[in-house]
Amino acid sequence: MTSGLDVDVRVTRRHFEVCARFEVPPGERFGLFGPSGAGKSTVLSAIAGLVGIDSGRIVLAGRVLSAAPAARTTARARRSRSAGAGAFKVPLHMRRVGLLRQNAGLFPHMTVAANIGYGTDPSTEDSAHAVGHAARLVGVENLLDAHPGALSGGQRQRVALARVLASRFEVLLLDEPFSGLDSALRVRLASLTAEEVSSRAVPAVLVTHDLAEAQSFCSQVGVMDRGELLQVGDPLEVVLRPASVPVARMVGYRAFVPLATTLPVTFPAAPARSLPLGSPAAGKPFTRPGPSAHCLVGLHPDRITMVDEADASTAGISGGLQIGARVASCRPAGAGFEVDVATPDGSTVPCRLPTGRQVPQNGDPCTILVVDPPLFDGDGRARPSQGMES
Amino acid sequence: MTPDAALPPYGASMQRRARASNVAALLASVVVWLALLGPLGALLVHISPTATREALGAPGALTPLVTSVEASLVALAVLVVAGTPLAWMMARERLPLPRLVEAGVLVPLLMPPLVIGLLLVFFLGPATPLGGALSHLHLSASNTFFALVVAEVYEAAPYYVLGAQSAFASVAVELEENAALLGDPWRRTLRRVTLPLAAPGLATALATGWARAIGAFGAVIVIAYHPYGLPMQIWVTLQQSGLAAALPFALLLVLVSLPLPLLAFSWSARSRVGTRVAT
Repeated sequence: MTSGLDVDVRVTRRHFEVCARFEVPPGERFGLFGPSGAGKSTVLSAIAGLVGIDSGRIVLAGRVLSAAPAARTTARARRSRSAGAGAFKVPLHMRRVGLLRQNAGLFPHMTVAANIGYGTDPSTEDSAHAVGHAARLVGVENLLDAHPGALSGGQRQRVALARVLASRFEVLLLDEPFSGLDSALRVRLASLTAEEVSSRAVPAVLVTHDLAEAQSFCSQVGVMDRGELLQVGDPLEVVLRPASVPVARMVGYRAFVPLATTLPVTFPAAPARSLPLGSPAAGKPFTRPGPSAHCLVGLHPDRITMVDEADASTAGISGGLQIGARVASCRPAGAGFEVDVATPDGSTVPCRLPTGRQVPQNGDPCTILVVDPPLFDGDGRARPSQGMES
Repeated sequence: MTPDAALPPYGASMQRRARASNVAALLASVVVWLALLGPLGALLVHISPTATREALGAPGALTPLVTSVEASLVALAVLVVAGTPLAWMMARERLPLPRLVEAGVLVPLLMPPLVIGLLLVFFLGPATPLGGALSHLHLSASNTFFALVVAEVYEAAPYYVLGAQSAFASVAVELEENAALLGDPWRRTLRRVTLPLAAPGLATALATGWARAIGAFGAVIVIAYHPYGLPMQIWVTLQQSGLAAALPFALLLVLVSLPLPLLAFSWSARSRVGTRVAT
């Protein structure tokens, strides 16, 4: 694409290679989600120019930021921060990359106002205006004369965000910047950042190990583990249709129950109100190809309900796969109860007890209803489902 | 019921022991402080104002002072120009074989100054290849002002370079990275972020270097007996006229070498308090 961010890189880290390939149109936000040590921050560092890439290229708004023709083979070449032979890397100060990290990294010897205005040209009048505007956006306008040492963690992170927003940037990189802040502040800063990114029409990349944060902030989510981008898709698709069992585990699936039947399975139309909006199965009957003997059904705590076999038809949810299981334990949670259900494959899945049901005893048999689950074959890969074609 | 009586028996004796160890620590600190200041006290007690005025008023008596100060200023300039970039590269680990580089800088520190002087004769003396090259530039590393500067540089270099390295290392790399990402090329980053934050540590390193340079003696006595700096003046006076006669020059050396370090240390202590923050 001619504008936006285009990443296609391979970076070698100590234990494995990080390989990432994705595009972010301007104004869109891309989330890199995965466990610690997966290599997500390495990708951001490569885009920012803090590490060199071994092969591939990074293009931003039509400018090449980093390029390397082939893998740099020696360990020493890989360790060096400069571009190797035949490689190209725009120096840090010309990349126009805005980076916000978990550590605010404010300059301790400068006031908040000087920090925020660091990336602006102080000789112009616009600079003071930009500093004031950015400070008001994040809510630190009454702290402009303070020094970073006197600020709380949340205040420092806000100043760091204002500092980036006041500078010239063509892509915004966020490396878990809001972890360690209380949830109200997190939500505020995340929505503020999203607005700024859209209004300036720049691409943004967020690295997080919090799935909810990735889903709420980003329009596309990439799931990454051990240096590999395992799946890229929109936030709901990645959770509803994970590409493989490892991805499913990362997005919250707790159990994978084997199904053993060769007949095609038809799920009758489920009433639209019982499924999330936009779910492809709403209101339509759909047929899935017959699972083989080694098919696995993924169970996610948010997608299962406990039902009585007897009143499944009267519960308002018809259709769906019913799985026999046992109650492992039951405990109070919030205004109700949460039941740990032991599934036939040996895992436990937490499940909220429907209101009005009697609290079960440990060891009681129970039935789990799961609607439109993802299916995986014996190798852990997702099985295609015709219902998703629309 | 009194508080002590309410405590179990071991509580009271533990309190007594804690108080006793606090007092002991305080006493020990005072003793060490007095021991360190003792010699200065002895100087002030034994010096006589009339003898001092006579000694320092004699013709040519202040020449060694001028020589020392001039040579130390030149030595300091050499250290700052050559040693600061080296210290920065060491701090940022931009050099190959970093441990070897550090060991190399430490070598003059580990050698007694007398040994440094002796080895400098074999390294830069007039009979050596390097000495021959120097003589083409009309310089000699034997009993000249140049030799004095060389000796002072060798004695002071590890103190300055290692101190400067530590000062640069105390500036987090992330701060320099952030400055660069915000648009500053490396020279501006150095001016706006690195140097201001490293300044207190650099001042301390400079002050330590100054004190070591102006007080250099072991290497100086071997390769730069002439021209006399203040340390040589004290030594010669000591040998020729006795201990008491050397006291005025000792006072002069103390007066000349102390103020800069004291200023630097107090400034750096104040600055560090202000910027001690985890950002």
